[in-house]
Amino acid sequence: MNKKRQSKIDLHVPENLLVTPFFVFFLIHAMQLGVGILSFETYIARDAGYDAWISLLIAGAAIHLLLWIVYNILQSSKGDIVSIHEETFGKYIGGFLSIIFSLYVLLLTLTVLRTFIEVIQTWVFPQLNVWFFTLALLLLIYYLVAGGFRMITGLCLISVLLALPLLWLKFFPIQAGDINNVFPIIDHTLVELLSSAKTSILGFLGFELLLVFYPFIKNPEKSKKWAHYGVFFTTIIYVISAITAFIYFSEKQLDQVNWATISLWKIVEFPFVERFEFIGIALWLYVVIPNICFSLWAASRIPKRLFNIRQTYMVGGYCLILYVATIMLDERQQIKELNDIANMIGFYVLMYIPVLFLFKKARDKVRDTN
Amino acid sequence: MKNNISVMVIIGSMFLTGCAETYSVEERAVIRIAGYDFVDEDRLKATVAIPQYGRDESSGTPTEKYQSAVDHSVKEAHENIQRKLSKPISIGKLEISLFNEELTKNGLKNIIDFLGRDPKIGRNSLLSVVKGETQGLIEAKYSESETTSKYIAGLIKQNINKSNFPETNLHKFLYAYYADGMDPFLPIIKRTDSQVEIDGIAFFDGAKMVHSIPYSEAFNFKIMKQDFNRGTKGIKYKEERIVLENIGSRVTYHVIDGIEHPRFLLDIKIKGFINEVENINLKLKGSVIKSVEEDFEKTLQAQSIEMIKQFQELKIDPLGLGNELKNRRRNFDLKKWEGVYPTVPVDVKIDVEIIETGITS
Repeated sequence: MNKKRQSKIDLHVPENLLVTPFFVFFLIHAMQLGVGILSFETYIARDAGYDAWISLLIAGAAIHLLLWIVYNILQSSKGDIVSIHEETFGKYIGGFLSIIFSLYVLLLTLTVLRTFIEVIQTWVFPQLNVWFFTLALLLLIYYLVAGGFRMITGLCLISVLLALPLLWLKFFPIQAGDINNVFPIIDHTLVELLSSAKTSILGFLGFELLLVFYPFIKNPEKSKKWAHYGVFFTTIIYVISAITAFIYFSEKQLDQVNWATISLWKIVEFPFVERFEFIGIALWLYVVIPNICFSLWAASRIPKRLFNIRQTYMVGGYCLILYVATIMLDERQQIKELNDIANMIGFYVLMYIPVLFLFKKARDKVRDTN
Repeated sequence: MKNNISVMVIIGSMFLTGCAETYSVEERAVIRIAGYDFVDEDRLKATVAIPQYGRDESSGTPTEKYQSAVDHSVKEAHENIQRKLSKPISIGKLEISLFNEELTKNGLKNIIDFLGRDPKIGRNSLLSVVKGETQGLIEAKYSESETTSKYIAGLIKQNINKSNFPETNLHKFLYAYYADGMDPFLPIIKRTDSQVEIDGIAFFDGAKMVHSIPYSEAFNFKIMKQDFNRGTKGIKYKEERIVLENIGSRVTYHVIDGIEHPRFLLDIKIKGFINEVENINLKLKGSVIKSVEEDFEKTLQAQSIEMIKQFQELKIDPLGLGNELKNRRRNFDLKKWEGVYPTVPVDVKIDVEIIETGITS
């Protein structure tokens, strides 16, 4: 944790707290891949049927574009979202917008945390003591976030490496499925494809945290390509997962399935383990924890920059909010609504990025002419 | 500060291990086989076999205890079984579910939903229709070395892998059940005194069984349904019996013409060995082999077309022609398809190639 007191605008992170550009790949990818991938297949197929993998590619392309805009904003200001907001909108409006952003990131954290606990409840332990499990999990998360940004980067790296071998398991459903299901290609209208793309874009939420951690990258210009690789990698993984599910399930059957990716693990059978989904879900905790830690860190970083309070206090406060909210949301319907709300707000945040870009450009122009 | 937290986390995670229930085989009623019988319009009878595992490993095959109960739904019936047991039921190892014929004819909707919904049930578990009572079938003792569940599951599995029975399991069933333009099928088994045998294939319209074919025709259905490289088929050749051993059969579905008036062609290529000839004087070479091949082609083609005709009359589509059409042509409309299906022309082309005739000529 950076304990040095800083003035608000002049943002300087000591070199020993920086990460090299290469790690941006893992940071972006780990943040994008959360609990969404466990269930997104059903939702994207509702609009565009089995053409939805094309929508994923469209969504991926849109994210690349947004990422480019984010880099453009950041490179011209050399700051983070707090300083950009302050430069563009002034101290009060800018500060307000930053707080909104912080709360949005906190909402993302809550969604991931609560949804994953729901997965554990439905799949593994129906009688799970939610209040106790959440408490233990949040203690662990608090500890990890208190370790600071570099610690989280390390976690992200581990999570990507641990989750990768799970891709091999797609072999089992592909073997059992029928490749013809994805044909004929493009049997849906452009409107259907785009509305499915809108649904699938939500799986890519998380890259906007770049607006917060940008100052922590050493030689940030060089990180651009790694960020794009990260988004590209996410897209590939989503497309592979979607196509596998489309091959394995019939269209109406997929509509019945709540967590398609976990259901795919169900047919994996080794002589020594008959129910692979238990191992899959347990392993997925390693994907979810860095995700939660990272977004919690980003959410608490913003108030720290705004009000100069110690970040650990903010982390503690946010943990408390997460804890209460997690316990209060205890029905599947509520959790689904939480996801819908988070996705809706996420979509607006994505829409906000180009707007911010334009405002910033206009502001810079005015300043230059003056 | 940091140290305190890590100590807290470690202590916390130690408590966590106590959160979960522990499961041990001896203390649970592990159900591997369950059967459901028809009682009346809205009730069913569930029968389960529970292996009794001893504390020592030397005892070999566990003995089985049987329990059954009647109720309106599967879960309630299981609950009633639970009432008669000293140990909690555990359904996670369910290997095979059996349904009696009468029940299947009345529809399996609630059982299908139960099997699809419960996360503990594996997608590879088997389903089968039983001629007669499932209770009697489960409670009979067949083998000294295997439990009933292992015996029946093994029976179906080995016939899928090494013989004429087409591939089936819970996932395949659900896939066809939910898919547009496809209907599921299941094996039919039957108890004959001291053993169980596969009797045929049951065809479903939605959740209801509406049609069945005898096991002797399973080969014909399997060559149309999937690629495989096992199985045998005998035909009459000039009043004599000749048996072909399939070593590689490939089926390709061709959709001809547009979505309005589709036609189908099933192109089947079979490579095989001749492995039994009744007439010892028949020399299998050159022109004789050609004519044997032609006879096989004709017989199989006639039988296959006949089988498809029956499907069309009953408006069931176990081959998934509708699904095939949906994947090959744009603007598939299920309603329209269901209207035209009974009259859609389906042709079968069979190409038999006899590669070897064994080690005697």
